[in-house]
Amino acid sequence: MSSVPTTALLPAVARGDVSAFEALYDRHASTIYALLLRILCNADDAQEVLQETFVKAWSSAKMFDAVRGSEIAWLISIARSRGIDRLRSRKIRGEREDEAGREISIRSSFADRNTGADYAMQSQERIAVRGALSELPEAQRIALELAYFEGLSQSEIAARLGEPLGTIKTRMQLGMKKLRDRLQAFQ
Amino acid sequence: MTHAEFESIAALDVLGAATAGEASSLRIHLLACIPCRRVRDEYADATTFIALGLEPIAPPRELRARVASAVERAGRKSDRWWLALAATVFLGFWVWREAGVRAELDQLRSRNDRLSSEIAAMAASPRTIELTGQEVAPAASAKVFIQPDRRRALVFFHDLPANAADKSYQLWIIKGDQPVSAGVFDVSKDGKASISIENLPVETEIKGLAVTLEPKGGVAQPTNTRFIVAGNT
Repeated sequence: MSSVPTTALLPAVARGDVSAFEALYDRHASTIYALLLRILCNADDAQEVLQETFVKAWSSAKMFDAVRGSEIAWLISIARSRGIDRLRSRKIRGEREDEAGREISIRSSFADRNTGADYAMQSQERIAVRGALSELPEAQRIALELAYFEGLSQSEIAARLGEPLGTIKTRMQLGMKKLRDRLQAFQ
Repeated sequence: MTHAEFESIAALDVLGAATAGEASSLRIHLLACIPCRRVRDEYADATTFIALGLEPIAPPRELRARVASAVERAGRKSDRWWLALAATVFLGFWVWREAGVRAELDQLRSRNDRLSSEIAAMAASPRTIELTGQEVAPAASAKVFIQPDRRRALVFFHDLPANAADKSYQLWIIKGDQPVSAGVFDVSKDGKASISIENLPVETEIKGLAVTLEPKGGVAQPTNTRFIVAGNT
Protein backbone atom coordinates (compact mmCIF):
# COMPACT_ATOMS: atom_id res chain seq x y z
CA MET A 1 0.00 0.00 0.00
CA SER A 2 1.38 3.37 -0.98
CA SER A 3 1.99 6.00 1.63
CA VAL A 4 0.23 8.58 -0.53
CA PRO A 5 -2.58 10.08 1.56
CA THR A 6 -6.21 9.24 0.59
CA THR A 7 -7.13 12.70 -0.55
CA ALA A 8 -4.07 12.93 -2.78
CA LEU A 9 -4.59 9.72 -4.72
CA LEU A 10 -6.51 10.89 -7.77
CA PRO A 11 -4.49 14.10 -8.26
CA ALA A 12 -1.37 11.93 -8.07
CA VAL A 13 -2.91 9.46 -10.53
CA ALA A 14 -3.66 12.39 -12.83
CA ARG A 15 0.07 13.18 -12.80
CA GLY A 16 0.79 9.63 -13.94
CA ASP A 17 1.88 8.30 -10.55
CA VAL A 18 1.62 4.53 -10.95
CA SER A 19 2.07 3.81 -7.24
CA ALA A 20 -0.87 6.13 -6.47
CA PHE A 21 -2.93 4.26 -9.05
CA GLU A 22 -2.04 0.94 -7.46
CA ALA A 23 -3.05 2.36 -4.09
CA LEU A 24 -6.33 3.53 -5.57
CA TYR A 25 -6.98 0.04 -6.89
CA ASP A 26 -6.06 -1.63 -3.60
CA ARG A 27 -8.28 0.76 -1.71
CA HIS A 28 -11.44 0.58 -3.81
CA ALA A 29 -11.36 -2.49 -6.06
CA SER A 30 -13.33 -4.63 -3.57
CA THR A 31 -16.15 -2.08 -3.32
CA ILE A 32 -16.31 -1.63 -7.09
CA TYR A 33 -16.15 -5.36 -7.75
CA ALA A 34 -19.01 -6.01 -5.31
CA LEU A 35 -21.08 -3.35 -7.06
CA LEU A 36 -20.36 -4.79 -10.51
CA LEU A 37 -21.09 -8.33 -9.41
CA ARG A 38 -24.38 -7.09 -8.02
CA ILE A 39 -25.24 -5.32 -11.27
CA LEU A 40 -24.02 -7.96 -13.71
CA CYS A 41 -24.40 -11.21 -11.72
CA ASN A 42 -21.48 -12.53 -13.72
CA ALA A 43 -17.89 -12.69 -12.54
CA ASP A 44 -16.27 -12.46 -16.00
CA ASP A 45 -18.32 -9.41 -16.96
CA ALA A 46 -17.75 -7.82 -13.57
CA GLN A 47 -14.00 -8.27 -13.89
CA GLU A 48 -13.97 -6.82 -17.40
CA VAL A 49 -15.97 -3.77 -16.33
CA LEU A 50 -13.83 -3.38 -13.22
CA GLN A 51 -10.81 -3.24 -15.48
CA GLU A 52 -12.55 -0.71 -17.75
CA THR A 53 -13.47 1.37 -14.70
CA PHE A 54 -9.91 1.63 -13.45
CA VAL A 55 -8.49 2.25 -16.90
CA LYS A 56 -11.03 5.05 -17.23
CA ALA A 57 -10.00 6.36 -13.82
CA TRP A 58 -6.37 6.34 -14.94
CA SER A 59 -7.08 8.19 -18.16
CA SER A 60 -9.64 10.63 -16.74
CA ALA A 61 -8.25 11.34 -13.29
CA LYS A 62 -7.75 14.96 -14.30
CA MET A 63 -11.53 15.28 -14.53
CA PHE A 64 -12.03 14.44 -10.86
CA ASP A 65 -13.26 17.38 -8.82
CA ALA A 66 -13.03 16.83 -5.08
CA VAL A 67 -15.52 19.64 -4.50
CA ARG A 68 -18.24 17.68 -6.29
CA GLY A 69 -17.76 14.42 -4.47
CA SER A 70 -15.46 11.86 -2.97
CA GLU A 71 -12.99 9.65 -4.76
CA ILE A 72 -15.08 6.53 -4.16
CA ALA A 73 -18.28 8.30 -5.29
CA TRP A 74 -16.51 9.18 -8.55
CA LEU A 75 -15.35 5.61 -9.09
CA ILE A 76 -18.78 4.20 -8.21
CA SER A 77 -20.38 6.56 -10.70
CA ILE A 78 -18.05 5.34 -13.49
CA ALA A 79 -18.49 1.70 -12.55
CA ARG A 80 -22.27 1.84 -12.25
CA SER A 81 -22.66 3.66 -15.54
CA ARG A 82 -20.47 1.12 -17.36
CA GLY A 83 -22.04 -1.80 -15.54
CA ILE A 84 -25.56 -0.72 -16.52
CA ASP A 85 -24.40 -0.18 -20.12
CA ARG A 86 -22.99 -3.71 -20.17
CA LEU A 87 -26.20 -5.07 -18.68
CA ARG A 88 -28.32 -3.31 -21.30
CA SER A 89 -26.12 -4.45 -24.17
CA ARG A 90 -26.41 -8.02 -22.87
CA LYS A 91 -30.19 -7.65 -22.87
CA ILE A 92 -30.09 -6.28 -26.41
CA ARG A 93 -28.03 -9.30 -27.44
CA GLY A 94 -30.91 -11.36 -26.13
CA GLU A 95 -29.21 -13.07 -23.26
CA ARG A 96 -31.87 -14.31 -20.93
CA GLU A 97 -31.92 -13.00 -17.44
CA ASP A 98 -31.85 -15.47 -14.65
CA GLU A 99 -34.72 -13.87 -12.81
CA ALA A 100 -34.61 -16.38 -10.02
CA GLY A 101 -30.97 -15.64 -9.48
CA ARG A 102 -31.67 -11.93 -9.55
CA GLU A 103 -34.40 -12.28 -6.98
CA ILE A 104 -32.02 -14.06 -4.66
CA SER A 105 -29.45 -11.39 -5.38
CA ILE A 106 -31.90 -8.58 -4.53
CA ARG A 107 -32.79 -10.11 -1.22
CA SER A 108 -29.23 -10.85 -0.28
CA SER A 109 -27.60 -7.61 -1.39
CA PHE A 110 -26.78 -6.45 2.06
CA ALA A 111 -26.24 -9.83 3.70
CA ASP A 112 -22.89 -10.24 5.37
CA ARG A 113 -20.18 -11.64 3.18
CA ASN A 114 -16.90 -11.62 4.94
CA THR A 115 -14.63 -11.36 1.91
CA GLY A 116 -11.66 -9.15 1.13
CA ALA A 117 -10.38 -5.94 2.56
CA ASP A 118 -12.01 -2.62 1.95
CA TYR A 119 -10.48 0.74 2.62
CA ALA A 120 -13.32 2.91 1.36
CA MET A 121 -15.10 3.03 4.68
CA GLN A 122 -14.42 1.90 8.19
CA SER A 123 -16.56 -1.08 9.09
CA GLN A 124 -18.48 0.94 11.64
CA GLU A 125 -19.49 3.44 8.98
CA ARG A 126 -20.44 0.66 6.62
CA ILE A 127 -22.65 -0.89 9.26
CA ALA A 128 -24.37 2.46 9.77
CA VAL A 129 -25.00 2.84 6.03
CA ARG A 130 -26.28 -0.69 5.81
CA GLY A 131 -28.52 0.02 8.77
CA ALA A 132 -30.03 3.02 6.99
CA LEU A 133 -30.74 0.88 3.94
CA SER A 134 -32.18 -1.99 5.91
CA GLU A 135 -34.55 0.35 7.73
CA LEU A 136 -36.30 1.17 4.48
CA PRO A 137 -39.55 -0.71 3.92
CA GLU A 138 -38.70 -3.67 1.70
CA ALA A 139 -41.00 -2.50 -1.12
CA GLN A 140 -39.18 0.85 -1.25
CA ARG A 141 -35.73 -0.72 -1.02
CA ILE A 142 -36.46 -3.19 -3.82
CA ALA A 143 -37.75 -0.42 -6.06
CA LEU A 144 -34.58 1.60 -5.43
CA GLU A 145 -32.35 -1.40 -6.03
CA LEU A 146 -34.05 -2.28 -9.30
CA ALA A 147 -33.41 1.25 -10.50
CA TYR A 148 -29.87 1.50 -9.13
CA PHE A 149 -28.51 -1.98 -9.80
CA GLU A 150 -30.46 -2.86 -12.94
CA GLY A 151 -31.00 0.56 -14.46
CA LEU A 152 -34.72 -0.02 -14.85
CA SER A 153 -37.10 2.85 -15.57
CA GLN A 154 -40.18 3.54 -13.43
CA SER A 155 -42.43 1.75 -15.91
CA GLU A 156 -40.07 -1.24 -16.16
CA ILE A 157 -40.02 -1.55 -12.38
CA ALA A 158 -43.80 -1.30 -12.30
CA ALA A 159 -44.04 -4.07 -14.90
CA ARG A 160 -41.48 -6.23 -13.12
CA LEU A 161 -43.23 -5.94 -9.76
CA GLY A 162 -46.75 -5.87 -11.17
CA GLU A 163 -47.56 -2.61 -9.43
CA PRO A 164 -49.14 0.62 -10.75
CA LEU A 165 -46.64 3.16 -12.09
CA GLY A 166 -47.76 5.84 -9.62
CA THR A 167 -47.18 3.49 -6.70
CA ILE A 168 -43.65 2.72 -7.86
CA LYS A 169 -42.85 6.38 -8.36
CA THR A 170 -44.07 7.21 -4.87
CA ARG A 171 -42.15 4.33 -3.32
CA MET A 172 -38.94 5.38 -4.99
CA GLN A 173 -39.36 9.01 -3.99
CA LEU A 174 -40.16 8.12 -0.39
CA GLY A 175 -37.31 5.65 -0.25
CA MET A 176 -34.79 8.13 -1.58
CA LYS A 177 -36.01 10.83 0.79
CA LYS A 178 -35.66 8.53 3.80
CA LEU A 179 -32.24 7.40 2.68
CA ARG A 180 -31.10 10.97 2.17
CA ASP A 181 -32.44 12.06 5.58
CA ARG A 182 -30.86 9.11 7.36
CA LEU A 183 -27.51 9.53 5.68
CA GLN A 184 -27.51 13.29 6.37
CA ALA A 185 -28.09 12.54 10.02
CA PHE A 186 -25.31 9.96 9.85
CA GLN A 187 -22.89 12.40 8.21
CA MET B 1 -44.04 23.04 -11.10
CA THR B 2 -43.13 23.66 -7.44
CA HIS B 3 -39.72 23.20 -5.82
CA ALA B 4 -41.09 20.19 -3.94
CA GLU B 5 -42.10 18.60 -7.24
CA PHE B 6 -38.66 19.23 -8.69
CA GLU B 7 -37.11 17.68 -5.59
CA SER B 8 -39.25 14.59 -6.11
CA ILE B 9 -38.06 14.37 -9.69
CA ALA B 10 -34.48 14.78 -8.48
CA ALA B 11 -34.90 11.70 -6.28
CA LEU B 12 -35.73 9.67 -9.40
CA ASP B 13 -33.22 11.41 -11.65
CA VAL B 14 -30.19 10.39 -9.57
CA LEU B 15 -31.26 6.77 -10.06
CA GLY B 16 -31.66 7.31 -13.80
CA ALA B 17 -35.36 6.57 -13.33
CA ALA B 18 -36.87 9.94 -14.23
CA THR B 19 -38.61 10.10 -17.59
CA ALA B 20 -36.91 12.05 -20.39
CA GLY B 21 -39.38 14.91 -19.97
CA GLU B 22 -38.92 15.03 -16.20
CA ALA B 23 -35.14 14.94 -16.50
CA SER B 24 -35.18 17.69 -19.10
CA SER B 25 -37.38 20.04 -17.07
CA LEU B 26 -35.26 19.34 -13.98
CA ARG B 27 -32.03 20.23 -15.82
CA ILE B 28 -33.54 23.55 -16.87
CA HIS B 29 -34.80 24.26 -13.35
CA LEU B 30 -31.45 23.41 -11.75
CA LEU B 31 -29.67 25.96 -13.89
CA ALA B 32 -31.35 28.70 -11.87
CA CYS B 33 -32.27 27.03 -8.56
CA ILE B 34 -29.37 26.53 -6.19
CA PRO B 35 -31.45 24.98 -3.33
CA CYS B 36 -32.87 22.31 -5.67
CA ARG B 37 -29.38 21.69 -7.04
CA ARG B 38 -28.19 21.08 -3.50
CA VAL B 39 -31.03 18.64 -2.90
CA ARG B 40 -30.17 16.77 -6.08
CA ASP B 41 -26.51 16.51 -4.96
CA GLU B 42 -27.69 15.12 -1.63
CA TYR B 43 -29.78 12.51 -3.43
CA ALA B 44 -26.76 11.67 -5.58
CA ASP B 45 -24.70 11.13 -2.42
CA ALA B 46 -27.44 8.86 -1.13
CA THR B 47 -27.20 6.66 -4.24
CA THR B 48 -23.47 6.29 -3.62
CA PHE B 49 -24.33 4.89 -0.24
CA ILE B 50 -26.53 2.25 -1.88
CA ALA B 51 -23.35 0.88 -3.42
CA LEU B 52 -21.36 1.34 -0.24
CA GLY B 53 -23.92 -0.71 1.62
CA LEU B 54 -22.77 -3.78 -0.28
CA GLU B 55 -20.25 -6.01 1.40
CA PRO B 56 -16.92 -5.61 -0.43
CA ILE B 57 -15.75 -8.59 -2.45
CA ALA B 58 -12.09 -8.90 -3.32
CA PRO B 59 -11.55 -9.38 -7.06
CA PRO B 60 -9.25 -12.19 -8.19
CA ARG B 61 -5.60 -11.45 -7.50
CA GLU B 62 -4.62 -11.77 -11.17
CA LEU B 63 -7.04 -8.98 -12.09
CA ARG B 64 -4.73 -6.44 -10.48
CA ALA B 65 -1.97 -7.39 -12.94
CA ARG B 66 -4.44 -7.30 -15.83
CA VAL B 67 -5.58 -3.81 -14.84
CA ALA B 68 -1.96 -2.66 -14.51
CA SER B 69 -1.21 -4.07 -17.95
CA ALA B 70 -4.31 -2.41 -19.45
CA VAL B 71 -3.31 0.90 -17.90
CA GLU B 72 0.18 0.53 -19.30
CA ARG B 73 -1.30 -0.14 -22.76
CA ALA B 74 -3.61 2.85 -22.35
CA GLY B 75 -0.57 4.92 -21.40
CA ARG B 76 1.29 3.75 -24.49
CA LYS B 77 -1.75 4.54 -26.64
CA SER B 78 -1.86 7.92 -24.95
CA ASP B 79 1.83 8.42 -25.76
CA ARG B 80 1.20 7.44 -29.35
CA TRP B 81 -1.71 9.83 -29.38
CA TRP B 82 0.54 12.64 -28.23
CA LEU B 83 3.13 11.57 -30.76
CA ALA B 84 0.48 11.61 -33.47
CA LEU B 85 -0.68 15.00 -32.29
CA ALA B 86 2.88 16.30 -32.29
CA ALA B 87 3.37 14.92 -35.80
CA THR B 88 0.12 16.54 -36.91
CA VAL B 89 1.11 19.87 -35.39
CA PHE B 90 4.53 19.64 -37.03
CA LEU B 91 2.94 18.72 -40.37
CA GLY B 92 0.47 21.58 -40.00
CA PHE B 93 3.32 23.96 -39.19
CA TRP B 94 5.31 22.66 -42.16
CA VAL B 95 2.31 23.08 -44.49
CA TRP B 96 1.77 26.57 -43.09
CA ARG B 97 5.42 27.45 -43.60
CA GLU B 98 5.34 25.88 -47.04
CA ALA B 99 2.26 27.93 -47.90
CA GLY B 100 4.02 31.05 -46.60
CA VAL B 101 7.15 30.26 -48.58
CA ARG B 102 5.06 29.57 -51.66
CA ALA B 103 3.22 32.87 -51.23
CA GLU B 104 6.55 34.66 -50.83
CA LEU B 105 7.88 32.83 -53.86
CA ASP B 106 4.81 33.84 -55.85
CA GLN B 107 5.37 37.45 -54.80
CA LEU B 108 9.02 37.26 -55.83
CA ARG B 109 8.06 35.68 -59.16
CA SER B 110 5.49 38.39 -59.72
CA ARG B 111 8.03 41.06 -58.83
CA ASN B 112 10.59 39.36 -61.04
CA ASP B 113 8.11 39.26 -63.92
CA ARG B 114 7.37 42.95 -63.41
CA LEU B 115 11.07 43.81 -63.30
CA SER B 116 11.70 41.64 -66.35
CA SER B 117 9.02 43.45 -68.28
CA GLU B 118 10.44 46.78 -67.08
CA ILE B 119 13.92 45.73 -68.15
CA ALA B 120 12.55 44.59 -71.49
CA ALA B 121 10.74 47.90 -71.81
CA MET B 122 13.92 49.77 -70.87
CA ALA B 123 15.95 47.75 -73.32
CA ALA B 124 13.48 48.79 -75.95
CA SER B 125 13.51 52.43 -74.78
CA PRO B 126 14.09 54.74 -77.68
CA ARG B 127 16.19 57.06 -75.56
CA THR B 128 18.89 56.59 -72.99
CA ILE B 129 21.04 59.20 -71.36
CA GLU B 130 24.40 58.59 -69.72
CA LEU B 131 25.22 60.76 -66.72
CA THR B 132 28.86 60.99 -65.79
CA GLY B 133 30.57 61.76 -62.49
CA GLN B 134 31.62 65.34 -61.97
CA GLU B 135 34.46 66.76 -59.97
CA VAL B 136 32.86 65.96 -56.62
CA ALA B 137 32.48 62.26 -57.47
CA PRO B 138 34.33 61.44 -60.66
CA ALA B 139 33.71 57.68 -60.38
CA ALA B 140 29.96 58.09 -60.20
CA SER B 141 27.70 57.38 -63.13
CA ALA B 142 24.04 56.96 -63.97
CA LYS B 143 21.98 55.71 -66.84
CA VAL B 144 18.56 57.13 -67.68
CA PHE B 145 16.01 55.11 -69.64
CA ILE B 146 13.30 57.32 -71.07
CA GLN B 147 9.97 55.98 -72.24
CA PRO B 148 8.23 58.97 -73.79
CA ASP B 149 5.07 57.03 -74.66
CA ARG B 150 4.63 56.24 -70.97
CA ARG B 151 5.94 59.67 -69.87
CA ARG B 152 8.28 57.81 -67.65
CA ALA B 153 11.99 57.47 -66.96
CA LEU B 154 14.05 55.14 -64.85
CA VAL B 155 17.42 56.24 -63.52
CA PHE B 156 20.04 53.86 -62.13
CA PHE B 157 22.98 55.32 -60.22
CA HIS B 158 26.32 53.63 -59.54
CA ASP B 159 29.26 54.48 -57.31
CA LEU B 160 27.72 57.48 -55.69
CA PRO B 161 29.10 58.37 -52.24
CA ALA B 162 26.64 57.49 -49.46
CA ASN B 163 24.81 60.59 -48.34
CA ALA B 164 24.87 61.84 -44.75
CA ALA B 165 21.76 61.31 -42.65
CA ASP B 166 20.81 64.99 -42.88
CA LYS B 167 21.26 65.13 -46.63
CA SER B 168 19.43 63.80 -49.67
CA TYR B 169 20.43 63.44 -53.25
CA GLN B 170 18.08 65.33 -55.56
CA LEU B 171 17.65 64.72 -59.27
CA TRP B 172 16.97 67.72 -61.47
CA ILE B 173 15.57 67.86 -64.99
CA ILE B 174 16.86 70.85 -66.82
CA LYS B 175 14.34 72.36 -69.19
CA GLY B 176 15.11 75.73 -70.58
CA ASP B 177 16.91 77.62 -67.83
CA GLN B 178 14.99 76.18 -64.90
CA PRO B 179 15.89 72.96 -63.16
CA VAL B 180 12.82 71.02 -62.07
CA SER B 181 13.01 68.53 -59.24
CA ALA B 182 12.48 64.93 -60.36
CA GLY B 183 12.72 63.46 -56.85
CA VAL B 184 15.02 62.83 -53.94
CA PHE B 185 16.81 59.62 -53.03
CA ASP B 186 19.34 58.16 -50.66
CA VAL B 187 22.37 56.13 -51.52
CA SER B 188 23.44 53.13 -49.53
CA LYS B 189 26.97 52.02 -48.77
CA ASP B 190 27.18 50.03 -51.98
CA GLY B 191 26.84 53.31 -53.88
CA LYS B 192 23.72 52.21 -55.75
CA ALA B 193 20.33 53.87 -56.07
CA SER B 194 17.48 54.06 -58.50
CA ILE B 195 14.62 56.45 -59.02
CA SER B 196 11.54 56.37 -61.17
CA ILE B 197 10.33 59.59 -62.77
CA GLU B 198 6.63 59.65 -63.49
CA ASN B 199 4.78 62.23 -65.57
CA LEU B 200 7.97 63.11 -67.36
CA PRO B 201 7.54 66.52 -69.10
CA VAL B 202 8.21 65.23 -72.58
CA GLU B 203 6.31 68.02 -74.30
CA THR B 204 9.22 70.41 -73.75
CA GLU B 205 12.77 69.64 -74.62
CA ILE B 206 14.88 68.24 -71.82
CA LYS B 207 18.33 69.71 -72.01
CA GLY B 208 19.92 67.63 -69.36
CA LEU B 209 19.78 65.99 -65.95
CA ALA B 210 21.86 66.61 -62.89
CA VAL B 211 22.13 65.52 -59.30
CA THR B 212 22.99 67.69 -56.32
CA LEU B 213 23.35 66.97 -52.65
CA GLU B 214 20.69 68.92 -50.77
CA PRO B 215 19.22 69.22 -47.28
CA LYS B 216 17.21 66.17 -46.21
CA GLY B 217 13.95 65.84 -48.10
CA GLY B 218 15.01 68.08 -50.96
CA VAL B 219 14.49 71.70 -51.90
CA ALA B 220 12.51 73.63 -54.50
CA GLN B 221 15.60 74.84 -56.30
CA PRO B 222 19.16 73.62 -56.14
CA THR B 223 21.16 75.26 -53.35
CA ASN B 224 24.44 74.62 -55.12
CA THR B 225 25.89 73.79 -58.48
CA ARG B 226 28.27 71.11 -57.30
CA PHE B 227 26.76 68.49 -59.55
CA ILE B 228 27.52 64.99 -58.59
CA VAL B 229 26.57 63.52 -61.93
CA ALA B 230 25.27 65.35 -64.94
CA GLY B 231 24.60 64.81 -68.57
CA ASN B 232 23.10 66.41 -71.61
CA THR B 233 20.37 64.95 -73.74
